[in-house]
Amino acid sequence: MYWEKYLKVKTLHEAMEILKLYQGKARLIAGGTDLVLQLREKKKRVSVLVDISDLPELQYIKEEHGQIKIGAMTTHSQLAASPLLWEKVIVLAQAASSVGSPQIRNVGTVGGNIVNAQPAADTVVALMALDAKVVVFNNDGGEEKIPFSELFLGVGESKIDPTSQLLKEISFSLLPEMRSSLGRLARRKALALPILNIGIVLSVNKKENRLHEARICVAPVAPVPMRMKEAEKTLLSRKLSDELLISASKAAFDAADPRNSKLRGNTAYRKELVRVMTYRTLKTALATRGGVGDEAGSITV
Amino acid sequence: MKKRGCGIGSMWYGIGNTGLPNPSGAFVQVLDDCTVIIHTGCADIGQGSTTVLAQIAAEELGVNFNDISVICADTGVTPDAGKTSASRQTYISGNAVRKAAQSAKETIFKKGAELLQVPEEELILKNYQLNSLKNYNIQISLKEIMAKCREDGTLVIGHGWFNPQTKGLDKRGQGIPYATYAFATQWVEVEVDTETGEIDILNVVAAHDVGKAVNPMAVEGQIEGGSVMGAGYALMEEIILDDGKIINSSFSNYLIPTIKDVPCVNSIIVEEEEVTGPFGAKGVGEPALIPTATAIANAISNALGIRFYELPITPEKILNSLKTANNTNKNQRDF
Repeated sequence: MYWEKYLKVKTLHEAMEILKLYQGKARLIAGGTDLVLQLREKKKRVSVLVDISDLPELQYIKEEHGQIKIGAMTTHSQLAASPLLWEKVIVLAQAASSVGSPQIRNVGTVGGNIVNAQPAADTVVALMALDAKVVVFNNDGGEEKIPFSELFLGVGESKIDPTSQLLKEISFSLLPEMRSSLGRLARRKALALPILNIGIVLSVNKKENRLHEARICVAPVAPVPMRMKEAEKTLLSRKLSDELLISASKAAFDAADPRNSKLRGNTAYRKELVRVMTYRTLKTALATRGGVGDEAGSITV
Repeated sequence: MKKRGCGIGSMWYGIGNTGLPNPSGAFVQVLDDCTVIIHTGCADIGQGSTTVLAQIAAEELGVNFNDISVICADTGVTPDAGKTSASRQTYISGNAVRKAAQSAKETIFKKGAELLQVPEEELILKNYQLNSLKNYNIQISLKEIMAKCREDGTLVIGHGWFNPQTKGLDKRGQGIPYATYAFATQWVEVEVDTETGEIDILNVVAAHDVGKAVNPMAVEGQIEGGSVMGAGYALMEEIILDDGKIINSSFSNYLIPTIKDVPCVNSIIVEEEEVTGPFGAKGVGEPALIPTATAIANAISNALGIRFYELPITPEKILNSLKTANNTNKNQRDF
């Protein structure tokens, strides 16, 4: 076997106690859709697996005081079926629907997607654009909040250590008149890793026909999902127009630095896709509705 | 921008092994309760040969499909039927099973002729009933015949053997490589995104001459499956090497189409009877795959005005070719 013991816990407390007891030899397992493969390929080694999939207190999607809060063990299927997300945070609902296949979405969790830190993880791209935070429990009983911008260290490496920490909750604020969308390109229409994932979140000011806020996350163009700061600045600089979207897409093109990949394509091709897909996703995002206080219809550019 | 184009691909394909003997054998036994057991070495790997062989025997023996049991691909008990390859089983094992059924039928006819006092030649076996073609009132049920056979100690069994007429190829490659050929033409409509290079197959129309569709739904299944495999061959399937090692050796990165990539496939079954085939049938397994990639490549060329000489045609290759074509056009304008 790839592990010696498999423990299914009934309480959060129990999970943390076990991690403490085994001092780095026990590791949390959520859906296992990535971890089991990594164990089988001997990319990771572990003695004890602590299964937290039976903890209902880690499965929820709720809105509280203009914030969306999501339990880390919420599955992709649950996110993809949430009317709340489809109404207010389309980008995250789209991202969860894009993950793998129905079987993978049924067991894979948003928390697992984050901790596993793959460079283009679908929900991570959306959550980066949503400027989300995570709540993490430490096995000394403490709790800390980490913003997504600080969460990822490299390919497959996040700040959360599942042998001593438990990712409890993901949260982010809803913006006034929020528009969002996910742009995704892959070599086929399902069950394929993305060549490119773009998460866009905007807050519009319809009266002045400009943006209050713009966030663009692109992956995989670097070891970790990347916010396109220059493109975001460009979007805030002037009134909305087609030319503005084109210059923002150009800025994203300039910032993207994907490597040559035999599986995902060469650098020139992938950079070109960043330009095309940023423009297209901005257009689709502007045509959506969401967030708080959105009364009138879509905005036209 | 999205551009659409249409393309056609046509093919012929020889059924069976090239210029080699590739026989198939079968046993058929009719039991007292009028059910039938077929023994054949033919391996059903999902294409439906077991169903088709049962249909052929049922038709020949005038009994219901549900009364046929097929014991297949068990080297301990079944006669050799050759490989499930070369689109050959319906044609070759179909003939073997039909001949085995005919040989079992001879015993039934002999017994029937004796009991009815008419010559064998004027008898017909249908719906579990033996009738005289000259006078339909002269009849006896199959059940009665089987009962008589049991009384006499006669087993109603038959064996059949079929080997397509081929002639080995000489030094110049001349001979008769196949006894029969399948023919097909497919038409494909694609939509190409000129900014991302993505290719969408919108429609496939696939016309296949199968001689006789023993099971039309299974033939459609073969045509649809073959077209989808052909689409994967045209657009996705590729072994990628890095330093001599295959880096996409799993189905997570060696891609074939999923249900979401599958276009609408409209099958047209053409039935041009093959005189040497069982009830006129020949093969369709591989032919369904062959013209699809050609038709897709032609459709892409029709949409973009650019020819591709290498498969798979990936979005990246599309964008690169469009860029090269644009540059060439610009240069030409300059002069």
